Amino acid sequence: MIEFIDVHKAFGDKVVLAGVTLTVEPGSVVFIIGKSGAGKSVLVKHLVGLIRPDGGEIRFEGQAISAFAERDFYPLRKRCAMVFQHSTLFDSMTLLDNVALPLRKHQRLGQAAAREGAMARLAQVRMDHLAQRMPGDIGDGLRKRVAIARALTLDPEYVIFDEPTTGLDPVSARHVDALIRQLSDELGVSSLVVSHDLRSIFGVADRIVMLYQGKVRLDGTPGDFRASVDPVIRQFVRGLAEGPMEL
Amino acid sequence: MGLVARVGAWFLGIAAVVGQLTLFAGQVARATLRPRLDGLETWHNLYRVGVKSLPIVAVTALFAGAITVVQVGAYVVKLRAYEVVGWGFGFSVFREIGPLLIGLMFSGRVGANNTAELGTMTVTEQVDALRALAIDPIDYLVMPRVFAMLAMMAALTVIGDVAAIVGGVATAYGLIGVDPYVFWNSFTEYVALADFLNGLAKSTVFGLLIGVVSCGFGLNVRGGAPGVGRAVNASVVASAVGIFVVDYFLTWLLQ
Repeated sequence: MIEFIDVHKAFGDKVVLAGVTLTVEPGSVVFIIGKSGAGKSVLVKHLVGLIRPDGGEIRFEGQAISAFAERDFYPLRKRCAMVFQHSTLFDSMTLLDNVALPLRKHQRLGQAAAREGAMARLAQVRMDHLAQRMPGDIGDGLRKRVAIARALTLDPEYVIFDEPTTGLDPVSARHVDALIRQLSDELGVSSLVVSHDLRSIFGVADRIVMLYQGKVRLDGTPGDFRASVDPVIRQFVRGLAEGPMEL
Repeated sequence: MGLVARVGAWFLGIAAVVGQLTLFAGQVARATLRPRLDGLETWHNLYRVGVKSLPIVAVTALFAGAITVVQVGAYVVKLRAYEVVGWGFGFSVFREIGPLLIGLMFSGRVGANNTAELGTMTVTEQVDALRALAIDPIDYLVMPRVFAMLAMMAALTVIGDVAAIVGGVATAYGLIGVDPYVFWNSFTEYVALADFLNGLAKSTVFGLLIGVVSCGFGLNVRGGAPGVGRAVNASVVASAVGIFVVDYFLTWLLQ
């Protein structure tokens, strides 16, 4: 289980998280939603130590990790993978070698064996036919699929997806949704998903947490969100330009 | 802002950069205690840093050797000191001009390229992606680069010394009519192995310096593409200044 307990974070004068508390149960799919700049990506990056909190505590399976040194995070990062918002594939490597890298480094496989394993992962996201291309030669949506394949190479128990369907065509987006659901249902992988994609949110989430003004506005099921009478939540869920939500 | 405040701000900026680089050098030093060089990355960098730099280093050294002879040519003819050309040439090129010029060329070509590459990886979150994959950027990105720069600076200096001798011999023969045999005799008689090793030691330290400085600036880039540009500029300037400062102390120490 992952627990964020009263987490605070500010960058200079700008307070991004002002006491966020939430939990992610094993095997569940939890979506973090909120307007741009609400602190969703900042929150999830705390979990793998890419950002450190100013206050509060983060627990990973009962262990407090907020005060971990950089190297203490490495075992955790093998169990909790992250797919970044902008894919962040390594420009100097082919798509195949991008996916093979974690296998080569952590499973001590030779280059040939790592590439074989990587090819299977690429096939999972239907990218094996482009394995020898460079990241700069393909579009954003395809890069995102490769980034997902790379994140899954070490068979993580938790996966953080930062806007996994942004930039994807509708068909690819639904494929990613299905993959997230499949990871949870068949392999018991927990997913923490940052997203604005309402179709993904209501199609895949077990639970939704909305961040607003640095705090959790509502933590509930998709049904709770649909039924909410909170005007801020209603505006977001309906995608309305007019309403009480601050820009 | 007043003059005093501006000078103060300038000094604070320099102190921040020096402090940041010192901390980074400490991280690199700690990583050498648990050497885990990635084989593929190391080979890739040895090729990129060494083989790709070979033409420019050879040409630079060839002309450095030639220029050295041009500079002393008039005095050699005036004093009819043909038998000391090889010694004067070898002593200055092996000990000083060779390592210094190759170091500056290396910094401009390899160091700048390295800072730009790592800086771009930093601002596009590729370095964070490595960390998220539980791969230490110091072990995976920095150590192979620093090792490659250190090793290849030494190797390129040896090759550069040979190219400089070729340039020196050809110019001495063509410009002031010194027979290559006389040049070579003077060179081998008076230039000691210590002179060659002195230059080699300097080059190795310059390689280490360029590696640490260029990686340090690259991994500490802030501010997107303009930040990468500023880091490349700062990296080349810091490496060049560092080379001269280190050269001064090494020359003094290795006398």
